[in-house]
Amino acid sequence: MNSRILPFVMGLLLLLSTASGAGQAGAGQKAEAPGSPEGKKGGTLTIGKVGEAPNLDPHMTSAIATRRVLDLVYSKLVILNEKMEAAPDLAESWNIPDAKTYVFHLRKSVKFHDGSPFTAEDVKFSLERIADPKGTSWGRAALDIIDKIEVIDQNTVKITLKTPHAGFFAILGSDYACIVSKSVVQRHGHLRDIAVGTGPFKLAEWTTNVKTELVRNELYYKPGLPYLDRIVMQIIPDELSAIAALKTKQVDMTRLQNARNYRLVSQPGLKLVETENLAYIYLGLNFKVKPLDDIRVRRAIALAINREGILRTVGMGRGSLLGPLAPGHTQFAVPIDQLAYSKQDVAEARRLLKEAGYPDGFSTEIISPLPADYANIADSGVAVQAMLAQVGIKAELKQLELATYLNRTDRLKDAPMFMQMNSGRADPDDQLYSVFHSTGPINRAFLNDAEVDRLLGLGRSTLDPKERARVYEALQLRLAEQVPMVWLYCELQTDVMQDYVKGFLQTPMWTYRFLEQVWLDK
Amino acid sequence: MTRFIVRKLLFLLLTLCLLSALVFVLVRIIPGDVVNVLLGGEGGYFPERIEAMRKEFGLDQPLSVQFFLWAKSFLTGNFGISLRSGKPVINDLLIRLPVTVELMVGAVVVALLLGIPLGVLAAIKRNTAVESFVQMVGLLGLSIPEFWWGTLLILGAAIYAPWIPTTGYVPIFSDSIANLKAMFLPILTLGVISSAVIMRMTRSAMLEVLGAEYITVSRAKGLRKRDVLFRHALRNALIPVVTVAGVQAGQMLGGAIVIEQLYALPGVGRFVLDGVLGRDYPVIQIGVLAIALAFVLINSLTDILYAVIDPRVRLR
Repeated sequence: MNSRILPFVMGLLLLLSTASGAGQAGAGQKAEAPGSPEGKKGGTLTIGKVGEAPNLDPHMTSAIATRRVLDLVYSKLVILNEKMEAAPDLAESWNIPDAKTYVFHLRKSVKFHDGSPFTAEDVKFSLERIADPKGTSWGRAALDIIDKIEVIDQNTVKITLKTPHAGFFAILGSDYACIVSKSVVQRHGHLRDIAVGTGPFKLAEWTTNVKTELVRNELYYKPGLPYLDRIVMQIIPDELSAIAALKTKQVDMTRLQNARNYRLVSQPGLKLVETENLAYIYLGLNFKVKPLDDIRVRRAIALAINREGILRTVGMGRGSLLGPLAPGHTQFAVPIDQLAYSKQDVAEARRLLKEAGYPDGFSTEIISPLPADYANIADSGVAVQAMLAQVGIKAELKQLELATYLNRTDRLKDAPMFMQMNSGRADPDDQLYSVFHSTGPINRAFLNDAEVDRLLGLGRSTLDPKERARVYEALQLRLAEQVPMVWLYCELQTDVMQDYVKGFLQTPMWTYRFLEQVWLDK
Repeated sequence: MTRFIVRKLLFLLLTLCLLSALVFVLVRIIPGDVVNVLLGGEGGYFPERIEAMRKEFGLDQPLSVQFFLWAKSFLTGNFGISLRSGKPVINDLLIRLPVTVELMVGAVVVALLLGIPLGVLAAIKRNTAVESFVQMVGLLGLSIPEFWWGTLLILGAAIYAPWIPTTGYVPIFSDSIANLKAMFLPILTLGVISSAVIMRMTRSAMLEVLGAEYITVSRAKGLRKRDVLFRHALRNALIPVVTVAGVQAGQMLGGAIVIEQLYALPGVGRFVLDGVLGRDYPVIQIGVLAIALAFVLINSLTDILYAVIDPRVRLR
């Protein structure tokens, strides 16, 4: 194909695929207004769940499997809705006397699952437990912005930030920001095997690798909710087994991870809810390993990769391409065609390699998780390896089990390239700062760019939305030029369920919180 | 005799202790530890965060100190708590043990019920179409990997027999009928695969015995064909079959991982696998110990069975 037509066709294909994706997602959600008046009380919803929670501590465990259980058990000060805007949850209202000070008025007479009252003390305790500089919380970096938390009275909490922060509400609505009971932590010592929250469901049984059972919280603060009596999350490690269980109605709902299995569930009686997700797959680059410290080499790598091809073959076209921010960040994301080095150009890649002193390419290594752990990441790695070979980069692809993999990326930090997934954060600051700031805790590329640092700082402190969008636009253009990673694609999130499951709502963050509105029509 | 048994028991204890010590060292040699797994990913890898967690788990101590601390609590019957779930590992193991034992016993029964008759049939119908057919089926059983066979059964059941559950374990004591229904496919998968080995062993042992002189003698005596076959030939042929069945049962304890994964059974295999993948040292430790103990028990059981089948063993 003519090289000038190709990008155009690819662009068109991309446009079509995103357009149809968005259409489906919209249709899935519009069909059932949340909390529809005809909702029926009662019944048990059985969910087939692929991963088992390693433990139940919301502050210490970033495991997705844990977060999906605790979505239902714990509440946060605010809740992020399907547009990722913060809405009141445990905090009924708030005022902001100055850019650094937030006063939250808490919902009154809320009770924890053990019957004890929820107070401002619990808010202070929870947020301080996360922010503890000696602690092991995965939300610590984000909450580091808090200067002090003061209890004004039983139902009022004042939070003072070190500097103004535009993404503060998104942080408060994040999965780590669960409000736990101070007395339970003090009594039990830890939260690894216990969960007492204020959410719509109470933890009734947690049998590792068998099932997690949740029952309705009769004391829940939203009137009339939840509809379901009981939610059973059944652990089914193999996705094909989960699909078989769905087809035979042994489970009511499951989430598809492997894009290839999508075809298996198109049948009458089952419906799909598809949502544009913020999670994305990427090829990480490590500047500490030569020759990736050379920007020309990194640009050549980015140009060698056909992202549309990977989305079409590995992702079965179910998703969208992205730059530093996923298209789901609607107010901030720069369209991919405006970003440098985002389209495949083999000739230019070869030229850059030659200029950098590698006319015949070089040998390197890509590490990747096992296909069994996440098929789409591992398969993307295979495609990346083949595409790099086209420009002479001979990459050895090593698929490693998780602990060995993390040992290479996080402790030894010696892997030149690595396949990985980022689960996405609601606010661009939360999304980008920790990954790309020179002091960022998961800056696995070791990017150290003064301009990027400056823009990240500016994006954090700029409160005016329009101005903030301009800052992030400049940042995305700059990041695309620096190539600290190659953003491959973000997946269309697919929840499959029986037709009689009504009122299901999904958000780009993927949460089970809105199961509080789900009811069974049978 | 008593001295013999005591010596054997002491030897057994020593083996288990050495094995545990070996496992202790080995799991700490493999790259990556539980701190990697729990903190890795998106939380950010702050040095202080890692140190705090290593301290919490006692992983900051030198290996020798860790070993003595572990050995001390191990010998006093404290097997530790899971680093990931915070639950005592012994409880988790005891919940899982019945699942794997049921799967194993069921599969051995299926394997024997299928394997022995087919093996005998193949031996007496030597050089006929029946033998070729049984042999072919046996070969197929040996060559089909269990994950594929299991997937086929799941899909088959989902399409043609939707009343057979393909997932969702129910403990045997809470609802025995539901339990048997849930265990039907896993047991069938594992049992059919092992029956191929049993069948081939039975056939070759039968052929060997049928060629022996005492069989010719008993035939010459005018015994009924059935008596010759079952009282004289089969009984003698069973000894190697029992050996093989014992080994198979042992292998199933650890080797049932694939089946447990496929059918979402919370058994010992998956327990140990998750422990290894998550570098959850106490879990690996007790899991390996349990499997080793089971191997020893199965070996002793096989020894006893020899005596039941073969009077000569009893006399010795």
